[in-house]
Amino acid sequence: MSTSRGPTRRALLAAGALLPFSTSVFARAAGALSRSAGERVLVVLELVGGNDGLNTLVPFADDRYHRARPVIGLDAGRVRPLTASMGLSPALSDLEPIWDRGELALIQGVGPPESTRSHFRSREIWHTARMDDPAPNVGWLGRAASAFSSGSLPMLRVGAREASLALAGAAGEVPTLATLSDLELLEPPPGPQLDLLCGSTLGRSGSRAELARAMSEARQLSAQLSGLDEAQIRLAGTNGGLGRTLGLAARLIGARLGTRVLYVTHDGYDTHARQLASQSANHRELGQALAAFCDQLAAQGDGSRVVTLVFSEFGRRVAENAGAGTDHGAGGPVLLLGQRVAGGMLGDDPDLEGELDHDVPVTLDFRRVYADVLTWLGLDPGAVLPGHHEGLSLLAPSPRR
Amino acid sequence: MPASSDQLLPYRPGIDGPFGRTQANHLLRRSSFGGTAAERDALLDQGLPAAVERLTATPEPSGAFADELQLLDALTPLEDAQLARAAWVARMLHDPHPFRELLTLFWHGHFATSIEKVGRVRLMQRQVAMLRERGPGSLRALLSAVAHDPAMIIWLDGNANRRHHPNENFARELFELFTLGEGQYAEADVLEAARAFSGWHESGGRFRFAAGEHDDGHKQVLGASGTLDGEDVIDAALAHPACGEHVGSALFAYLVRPDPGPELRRSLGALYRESDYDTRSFCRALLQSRAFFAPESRLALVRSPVALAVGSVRSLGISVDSRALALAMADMGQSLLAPPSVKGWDGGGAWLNTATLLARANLAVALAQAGGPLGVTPSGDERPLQRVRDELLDLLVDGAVPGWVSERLVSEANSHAGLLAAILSLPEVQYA
Repeated sequence: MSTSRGPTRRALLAAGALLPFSTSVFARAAGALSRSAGERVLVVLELVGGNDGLNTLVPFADDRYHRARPVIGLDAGRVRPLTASMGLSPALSDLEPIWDRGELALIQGVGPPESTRSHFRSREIWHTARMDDPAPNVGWLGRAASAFSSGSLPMLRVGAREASLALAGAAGEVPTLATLSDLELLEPPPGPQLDLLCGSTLGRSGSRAELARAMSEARQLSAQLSGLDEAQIRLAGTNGGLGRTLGLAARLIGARLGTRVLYVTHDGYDTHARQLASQSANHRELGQALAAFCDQLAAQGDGSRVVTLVFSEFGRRVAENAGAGTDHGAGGPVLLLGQRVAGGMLGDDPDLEGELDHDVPVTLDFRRVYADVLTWLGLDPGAVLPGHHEGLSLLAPSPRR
Repeated sequence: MPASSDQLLPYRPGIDGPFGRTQANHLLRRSSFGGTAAERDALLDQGLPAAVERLTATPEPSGAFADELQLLDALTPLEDAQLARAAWVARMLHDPHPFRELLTLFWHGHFATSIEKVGRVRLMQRQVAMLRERGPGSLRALLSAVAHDPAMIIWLDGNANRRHHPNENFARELFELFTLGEGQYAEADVLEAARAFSGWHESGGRFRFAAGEHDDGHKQVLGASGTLDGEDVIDAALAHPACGEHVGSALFAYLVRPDPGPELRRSLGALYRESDYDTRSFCRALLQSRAFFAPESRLALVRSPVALAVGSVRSLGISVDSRALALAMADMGQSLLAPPSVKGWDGGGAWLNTATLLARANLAVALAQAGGPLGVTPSGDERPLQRVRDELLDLLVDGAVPGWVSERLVSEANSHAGLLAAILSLPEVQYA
């Protein structure tokens, strides 16, 4: 799977004069932007490439696990036990305090009813919450977005410049922010105020008006956030790209722009060979960033209004392959984190019976997890998801303690 | 609504509508990235058919441009992707016949190949040179050159396509993206076509036919059968009715307006085939068609980052550092020589998001200022702001901005730079 690339800093900005925030002609626009009351927020974190679930949430007490994975199996003694049978990979030990606080739900064997081993196709299914092939070009969150009334930026793609099908919908282009430097503007020469002119077609219908609105929003977002620098954005105690991306997400949540959904991806989970090193490194970055994200949200007073959903397009096969990696499989664990989450383990422990080519079966339709978070956001899951999908009641409408 | 085949008939000035400033602006934007008022006025003097013929001509470079190309070649060291991009952008900016580069850019997106996998800048440059040379001619010769192109062979795993281990990558994209479109062929066609291209390898940056790795057995592809090789497969694809529709509609969406619709697609396919797949004649027909001058085609295309940057420079009559301009294009989401996938750039609304809109705003500011990050040498235009505004709005968007915006552009600008930055920042200018 490819990862996003490109310069981290805008070429023109590297050479040109930056707009000093304090004298910004757009500061007015920032002031005019109404602050939202603090609605509930969903953060979706997609692990791209197919995260190996059995080395995430490890069935450490099952001999078949150790037999199927002589090279990459994690020692029972090093796994962090959560129940009598299941434990976290040591690389994810940063999640333990969240588990101990009862703010982490681990849902096992999650996937679509008919799983596929194609990255592309499986991501389509997760993104659209539909089994149609070819997939519709509207995502499940894109369908949900039309129900959000508040805020000019109901959904944001954070950490990459590529759009996500999950957010695609009738409501127009979902803004994307790869890094903070995406928001920097060159200081314009004296003249007409660009922020007002760029709204020139507002009020007219059609794509021009949408574009004018998007340009205004981009400038407003820039004005709101361009005073921050990269060092302030990164979550305390993290390194790697995810700590910076979730830091930006935390800032955006704290800015109370009315954003209800933030979509983040973490690349590098397609581990066909020499998996131990790469997956552990990814998991360390993931655990560290998620723990720091929860801490940051709590510190800025947003902990009770944010839920984070972590998923991957599929799990991997039970047995390791000849290259000390794992190949594309089926079911895998989903994580839900947040102060309103009813922490604990849900779903059946993985069934490791079967041949070498055996998958971890899907025992829980992924749309039941979606139903839960949609309800939490105050939406009717029936209006977003095809068919009926009973929620899992993992999210408390009010504080649990 | 005229029948779809009528939409492709020649536009008759005086009968179907005028050929005035507005139509000439439109023609200049779509065929040449845009240009100055003087260039536009020259089109009006020539009249429509002659103007289209001249705009789409691609004569051997001569004079100052030829000298510049020699200089560019000498200055382009090996294996520097940034300089390779800058050299291409310089051609777009300075070629007196910019249609050549406009069409080369189309084929670069159509046969999208990326330096990210190819790795060798020289091979990417040679591919672009091949697209430039072959692009305006016969689609058949172009497809054959593409199938023999070393960068393409690396990009779509040609060397892994061997007699006993056919690799389908190129054959699949040849049908799905390059010629027919999804759903027009069977899986068996892909597999058999892959066998026909087996042994078409790259070695040392050159095409090499590895006879021992070529499967010369009997094959059946799209109704053709025999001991087919790659050339036969290309012929079979061209004979398929979907080919003209697929490629012809892509050219239509690039030059005229998005989404021609099923009926017009069929007419486009017929027109392209009747031209014997001669791309220049087909483009000429499109650029003087009734569909081209229909109101729904005017300002109907989102300007790609390349078209916006090159078109702005050409219309303003300024000169810029082409290396910095290539970087600005990448900021806006279009890094030349590095399309995001074999599907090329999605284009249209996909060009526009928060990050790329701000990058477009930054381009506007940079283009307006002497010096600065783009190393701008201004045009030296000293005319009153009002005249500059009228001319530029006319060239860029046929003057189609609300009256109050037009007012404020002049009443609040106290410099040429302020005016230009404001005009180039308008939402309207993102369309051509």
